[in-house]
Amino acid sequence: MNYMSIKLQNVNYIYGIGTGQEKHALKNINLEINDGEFIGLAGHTGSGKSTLVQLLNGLIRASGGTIYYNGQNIYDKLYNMRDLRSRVGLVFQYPEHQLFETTVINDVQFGPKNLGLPQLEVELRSFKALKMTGIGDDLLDVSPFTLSGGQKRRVAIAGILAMQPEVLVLDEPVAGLDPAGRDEILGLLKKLHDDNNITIILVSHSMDDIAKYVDRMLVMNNGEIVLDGKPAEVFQFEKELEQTGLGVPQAVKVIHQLREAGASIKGKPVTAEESASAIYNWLKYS
Amino acid sequence: MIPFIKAEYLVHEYSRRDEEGNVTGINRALDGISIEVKAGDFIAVLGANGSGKSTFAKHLNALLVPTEGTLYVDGKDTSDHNNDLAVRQSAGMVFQNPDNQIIANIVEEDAGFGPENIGIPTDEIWHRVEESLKNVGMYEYRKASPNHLSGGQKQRVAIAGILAMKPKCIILDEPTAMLDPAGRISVIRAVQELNKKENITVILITHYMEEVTAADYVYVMADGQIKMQGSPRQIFAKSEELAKYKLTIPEVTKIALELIKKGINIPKDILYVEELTDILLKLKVSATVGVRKE
Repeated sequence: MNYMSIKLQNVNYIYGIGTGQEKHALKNINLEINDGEFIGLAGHTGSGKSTLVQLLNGLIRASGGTIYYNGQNIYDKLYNMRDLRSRVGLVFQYPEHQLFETTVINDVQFGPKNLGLPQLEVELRSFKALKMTGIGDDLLDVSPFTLSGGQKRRVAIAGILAMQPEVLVLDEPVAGLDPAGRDEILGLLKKLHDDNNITIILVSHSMDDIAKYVDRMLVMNNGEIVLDGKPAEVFQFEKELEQTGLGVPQAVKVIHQLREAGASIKGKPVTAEESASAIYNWLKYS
Repeated sequence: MIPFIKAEYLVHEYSRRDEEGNVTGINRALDGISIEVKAGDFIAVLGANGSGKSTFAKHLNALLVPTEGTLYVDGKDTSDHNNDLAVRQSAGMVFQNPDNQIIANIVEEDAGFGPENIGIPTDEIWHRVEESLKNVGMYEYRKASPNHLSGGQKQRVAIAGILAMKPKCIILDEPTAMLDPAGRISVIRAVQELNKKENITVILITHYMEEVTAADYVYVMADGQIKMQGSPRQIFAKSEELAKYKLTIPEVTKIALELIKKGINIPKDILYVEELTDILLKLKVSATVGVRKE
C-alpha cells in the first residue's frame, strides 16, 4: 500500500492518570490526515494541539483509542515505532535551541546518522536537506550559533528533513521571527509541500499565516476538534473562533463587517489581495 | 520638560570571540541612536531580527551600558552603575517568554517578588500586589498556580510583577510572540490601559504590525540605527520603505493599498478594520465611486 494516511480513532489522552489531578487533554479525537495535505492546526494555549502532534510520531501514547499509520496500528506490539519517528518528523517550538554541534553540516547529519544509515547516504541526505532549506555551501562549516535567527531555524528544520520524513509537523515554526523571516520559513514549507509532496501539519497562532498557506484548517478547543475544513469555510465561523480565543484574519473581518452593514460582497476571500478584489467588484459592479 | 528617556548617539558593540576567547571581531549592535521619549508616551519599536531592538531595550533597563554615547533614563545616567537599581525601578522590563519570568507557586506571590526585592514593607507589598493584579485583570486568579494559566494570563502576571514596583515606564520585548490571538489582545489591552489610566510610559518592541497601531509614535530600527520614525499612520503609509527593512504593514492597510492600485480613491494610511469599512460604505453610498479612468 503506497497511499499514506494517518488515522486517529476515538483517541483520548489524559495527563496525570492516578494522581488525582487528571486532565483530559484529548477527547475522542477522530481524524484522518491524507497524503500530501497542508494542514493548519489552530487552538488557544492548552487546547490540546501539542498533545495531538506528539501522538502523531509516537512521542507519547494515547490513553485510549487507536492510531493507524498507512493502515497499520502503531500500538501493535510488532509495530516499529522507531521507523514511525523517522517518517513523521516533528519540529518543536524554537527548534534552534536544540542546535548543538560545532558546524552546520554536523548538526544536520545528527538525525540521519542516528537512523543507522551508511555515511555516504547520511551526507547525501544532509546536503540535499540544506539545499532545500536554502542554506548555502558557504555556511556548511560555520558554527550554527553565528547564524541569524531565521538561518538557525532553517538549519534545525534541515536536520529533520535529512531524515526524509513523509510527514512534517511543525509547532509554531515562525514564532519570534520578523515578517520577512516568517515569509521565508512559510514559503519554504509551501515549496517542500508542492515540490516533494510532503504532508505538512503547521501548528500556528497566526490566522493570517493559516489563511495564506494551508489547504485544510483544524481548530481545537478543550481537547476536541471543533472545526475542520478549508480556511475560507472555517473563517465563516467568526464568532465561534473568537469564543475559543482565536479570531479571523483582518481580511475576513473587513468582509464580514461590510456584509453586516448590508453590502452584497461575493465569495469567501481570506487574504488581503482576495478581499481587495471582492470589495472592488462590489464597489464597481453591484 | 526633561524627557523621560534621552539617548544621545548611543553605541553598543559586542565582541565576537573564538573558542579560546580571543576577540575575532566587533559587532556594532547599536550605531548612534539618538531619541527622546516624553513621560507618558506609548512608543513602539519595530525592526527585523538582529536590527538591535532588544539590545536597545536592555540599555533602557541598564542590563547593558553604552560603549559610546550616553543614555539617561528618568534623568539618570545608565553608564553609572550606582544608578542601576534606580534605573531598573523606574523602567521595568517584560520579556518574550512568560515561562522564564514566573518564579513563585502562587500568582500573588509572584507579583510580590519584585517589591519584596526592593525592600518594600510587607503591608505595602500586599496592597501593591492587589492593585497591580487588578490593573491587568488577573485579581481573580491571585490564589491560582501560575502553571494553570494560559500564556496571555502568565504574561499579564509578569506585567503585574513589574507594576508592583511602581515603575514610571514599562519596556516590553516582544511580549506576545508566544501567545494565541486572545492572549495577544489581552496583553496589549492591559498595556494600553496602564498607559492611559496610570500614565505609565510604554516602550513596546514587537513584530506584530497590528499591535503598533496602539502606539503614539513608532521607531523603525535596522542595522543598529533608527531608520524611520513617526506616527503609526505616517510609518504604515510607507510600505515600500518598510519592506526594505524586512517589515510589512497591517493586513487592513494592505487591502486599502490593493484597492488604491485598482483605482479606488481612499487614503493609504488606514489602520483599523472599522475605519476601512466606514470609508468603503460611504464611498458606495455616494454616487461618485472613484474609479479613475486612465
